[in-house]
Amino acid sequence: MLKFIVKRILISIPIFLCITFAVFVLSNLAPGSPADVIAQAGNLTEEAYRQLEISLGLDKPIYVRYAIWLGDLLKGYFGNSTTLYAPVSYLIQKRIGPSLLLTGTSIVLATLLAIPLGVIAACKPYSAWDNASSVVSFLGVSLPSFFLCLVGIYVFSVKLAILPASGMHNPGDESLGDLLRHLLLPSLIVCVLNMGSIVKQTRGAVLEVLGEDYIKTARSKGLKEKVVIIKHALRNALIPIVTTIGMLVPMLVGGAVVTEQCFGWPGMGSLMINAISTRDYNTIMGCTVVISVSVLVVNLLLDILYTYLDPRIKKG
Amino acid sequence: MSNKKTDTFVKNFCKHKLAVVAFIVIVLEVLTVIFLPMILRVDPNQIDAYQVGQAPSAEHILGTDQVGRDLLARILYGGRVSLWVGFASVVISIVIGLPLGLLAGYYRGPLETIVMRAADVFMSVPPMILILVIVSIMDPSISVVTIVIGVLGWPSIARLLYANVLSVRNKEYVESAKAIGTKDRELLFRYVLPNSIAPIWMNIAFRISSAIMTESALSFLGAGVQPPDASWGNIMYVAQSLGVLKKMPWVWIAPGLCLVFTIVCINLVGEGVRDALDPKMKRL
Repeated sequence: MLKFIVKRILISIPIFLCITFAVFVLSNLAPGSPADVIAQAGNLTEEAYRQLEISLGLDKPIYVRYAIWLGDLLKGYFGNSTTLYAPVSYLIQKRIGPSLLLTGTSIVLATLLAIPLGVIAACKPYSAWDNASSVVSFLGVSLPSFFLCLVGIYVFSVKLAILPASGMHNPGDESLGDLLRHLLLPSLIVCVLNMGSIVKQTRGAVLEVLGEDYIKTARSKGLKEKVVIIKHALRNALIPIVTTIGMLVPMLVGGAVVTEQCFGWPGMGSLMINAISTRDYNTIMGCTVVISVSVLVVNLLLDILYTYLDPRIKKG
Repeated sequence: MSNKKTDTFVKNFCKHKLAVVAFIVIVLEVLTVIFLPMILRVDPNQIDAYQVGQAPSAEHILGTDQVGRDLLARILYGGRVSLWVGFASVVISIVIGLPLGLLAGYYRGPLETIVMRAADVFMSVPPMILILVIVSIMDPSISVVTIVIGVLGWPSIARLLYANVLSVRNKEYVESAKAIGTKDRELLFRYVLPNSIAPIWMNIAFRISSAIMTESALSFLGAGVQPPDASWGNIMYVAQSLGVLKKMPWVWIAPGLCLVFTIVCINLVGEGVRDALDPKMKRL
């Protein structure tokens, strides 16, 4: 098991290096180097500008600068935000919690709703439940997230006035109830957008397993249908379902950018959008690195989870 | 595809009634956004200071936006942009992804390693984030947005094809073609590609709809198509303010419905194509 995990981590390292290198090169392609920013403030001579470049390390070749940047990165230093006058690491620390809360709640909600729906749909093909499941999965891939957010805010916050339209807390109110009220609408929307593919995958996988011989065996042993479905069918269908949920993670992070922005949710996504609109490159790059690394970590955890779900994988 | 294959495909596709209707709707929509602006002679950028934020009326059927531009005109021109970005970016993804997937799967070796690992790297960054970063560095315009969405779409096309080419390359008909001395190029294009391309056909429609969604989300966030150019996403940009959302619902409801309607239709066509090509996949 340990060998498998180590091997899997080793595979992630080159991917991590590629991503960070790409991010670094991109940030250097951005118009306006740090030297230009400082040069704009004071009127610099040609000579002074070159001195400034040397002191900032900009005269070194790009791979050397990348190595230095990577070193800083590993120490948790992302540079300073050029517009918010704070270290990027501090900003990210403050924003990562709300983001995890929103995406986490949505994934859990989506899983809890989607798997039962998919299982029921598979057990009773062409029933009303099955039709409902195909409508849900079709809508999930057909509704643009921001439109759903706007409709949600319009209906529940403006017309019915039962849920808050933006933020995480009412000013001065730090209670859990208030947080939940703010969380409900955005997390439901992210959930609706993403449960479709889980429903579809669950239905397909369970339907396939139900045709297997061991299900016939389980039934002919006289096991209760509930046990057959949950213990035998669902258990064996879990791998493709978990894969689907895992593949949603990068999508979710991306999709949540839009949702966070619509709801003024103080997470990584809205931090990033603001950084983009103010051309705050250090913050953009910091967020990108943190988000990509978290996707890598989630993928790693999923691969480990697979070996628990299906011990056969470990051997292969 | 040979003629006979095309005939069976069309016959099977026509069995999916909803998909046929959706296909006709899409064709009509493309014709509408191309020709209706020419017939109506409306200007999407005409600012009318006396008609700011008007609700739909006889003069402006869909109302006007916050600076007094006619929304019908902007939605029509925006439709051109949104549909164009959707189709063009998928063409770009295929132009890059198809040869890479084909060659990686057929020749294997170092090429396979490089291409497929590169695909892994691309796939492990959330697409939306990567697009946002790139678009923020290059100044966003319609062509930049199209190219970025298109280029970032190559890994999934390459992967789809690669997986199929791997299984096709060892089939008897490829072996026997090789045995009679068929050249590599002919082998690839006459035997391997036609027998492994089905999943790409099945995916095209879904790729187009997701490209349209990506473009509109980007533009909605202000990082995509920039005004004065219109796209369905950037028309809705102003609805980020609660005031506009509340008081001028016509500004965001109409383009939003156009977007949903278009995506639903394209996805229905996609389901029709998938069922026609692979009856086993039906309702699975």
